[in-house]
Amino acid sequence: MDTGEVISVLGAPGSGKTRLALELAFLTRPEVGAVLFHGKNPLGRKRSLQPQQRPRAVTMLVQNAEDQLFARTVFDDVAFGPRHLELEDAEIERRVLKALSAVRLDPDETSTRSPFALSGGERRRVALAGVLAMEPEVLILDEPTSNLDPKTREEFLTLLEPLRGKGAIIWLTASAEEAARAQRIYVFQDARLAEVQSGANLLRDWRRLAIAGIELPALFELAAAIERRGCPLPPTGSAPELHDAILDVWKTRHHAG
Amino acid sequence: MLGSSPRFLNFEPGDSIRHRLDPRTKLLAMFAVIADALIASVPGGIIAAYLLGVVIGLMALHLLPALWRVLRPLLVLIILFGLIIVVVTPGNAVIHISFVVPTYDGIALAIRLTLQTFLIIYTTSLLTITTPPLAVADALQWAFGWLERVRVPVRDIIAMVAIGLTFVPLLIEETQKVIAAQRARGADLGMNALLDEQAMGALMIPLLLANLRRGDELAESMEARLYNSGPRTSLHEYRFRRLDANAAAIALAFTTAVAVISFVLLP
Repeated sequence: MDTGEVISVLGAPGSGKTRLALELAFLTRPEVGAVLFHGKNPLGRKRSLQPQQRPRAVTMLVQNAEDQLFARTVFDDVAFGPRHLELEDAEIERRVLKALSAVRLDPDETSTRSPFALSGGERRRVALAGVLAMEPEVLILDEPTSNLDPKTREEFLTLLEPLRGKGAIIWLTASAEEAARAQRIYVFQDARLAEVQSGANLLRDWRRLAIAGIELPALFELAAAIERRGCPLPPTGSAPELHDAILDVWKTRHHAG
Repeated sequence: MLGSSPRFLNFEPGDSIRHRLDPRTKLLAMFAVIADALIASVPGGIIAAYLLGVVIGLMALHLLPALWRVLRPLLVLIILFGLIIVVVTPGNAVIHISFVVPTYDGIALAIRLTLQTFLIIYTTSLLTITTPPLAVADALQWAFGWLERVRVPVRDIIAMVAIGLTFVPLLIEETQKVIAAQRARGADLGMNALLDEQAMGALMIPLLLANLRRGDELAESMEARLYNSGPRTSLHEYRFRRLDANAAAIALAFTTAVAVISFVLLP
């Protein structure tokens, strides 16, 4: 992976994404192979896993990260990571305030509040700020929008957009729509890498994704449902073509009936 | 997630004689052996009690590796306590090593206590290895249900214990998840975390919150399914069979033998 690159790992729930994320974040040792960081394996060859060996430049936003908040104030929680980097107080404060504004939380208003007084969506933003304050070289997002309602989800996605180009981002998700935002997409099935594709081509293969249990955009879910009811659609490339194809099928049926 | 999570109390599914025994028989036999271990204060009694343990063990040879996995960590503790007893019991000194004074009485007491403790742990582990936690709970309810008459909420206590036991693996998984999450944002959470107030908070608060939430949800879903709204019947009715009678007879015979040896023959 290159600096500033965004790659996504697309896989159905239970396909082993979280396990992969933990391995990529140097939190578990892979059973076979190794994860390299700057061309080296920081975990070495020893069997035991020392937390000190982890490169601090790799951080992860875990699934449902809002459950991991614990400090008395939002400020303290976001500062938790940077404090472990042994930075000076002024630098910690700068990073916390910057991270809070990056997730569009007003530092004046929220930083002294208890994280538990915030809404679920806001808490997840605080969790993201906590990770961003580490100023990581590699940011791993494990299903960053899981369990969010559609509106909060959209808001959260707009927060992630400006992160592009700063460090490398590895985005694990079950949604084809989210995965398509990346430059490279790895489709992950049964803990194995099934395909490598570029973002624009991903949905061309929507039939295979549907079989693999991946969540598709609404139009493609509709198409998959139509085909499941025994009405094949013509092979189509893009969303507008598929849209027309569905309309055609509907019209023919309607006239016949 | 991080390494394999230990299965709590290591219930091993299987079809040995131990598995087929009624959980109530196993519970009573366990009490019998514990009683044996406690009253066996003389060498003869301890040997007799251990013989019973061996007989029970022979009934479940293939379980011994699993049993060893449970006992091994506890063995270290038992031996450690034994060593402490050796040096803190007053009596005839064996040797003086500055202020450490092991005594003959201490050695005798330590051997007796470690043997007794080991036997108790061995039998309890045998019960939990061959009996699903819920069956243990049923047996406990059967054995102590009469306390309900004197307003001891036996059923609730047992429900709590049973739920607690089933949730331990989940708790372990949850702990590993929190550790991974906090490490991912820079915390060490190694052994030195125990001394670091903030690191402890980072671990304990999310864990506590998750469990309170889970407890709430569980209570609601149990009440939604009419828990606590009247007498409950059981899906699995237990029945004593010939096997149980035989097992009970063996346990009773040994207990009597141990009692006779300890109190009558060698008072």
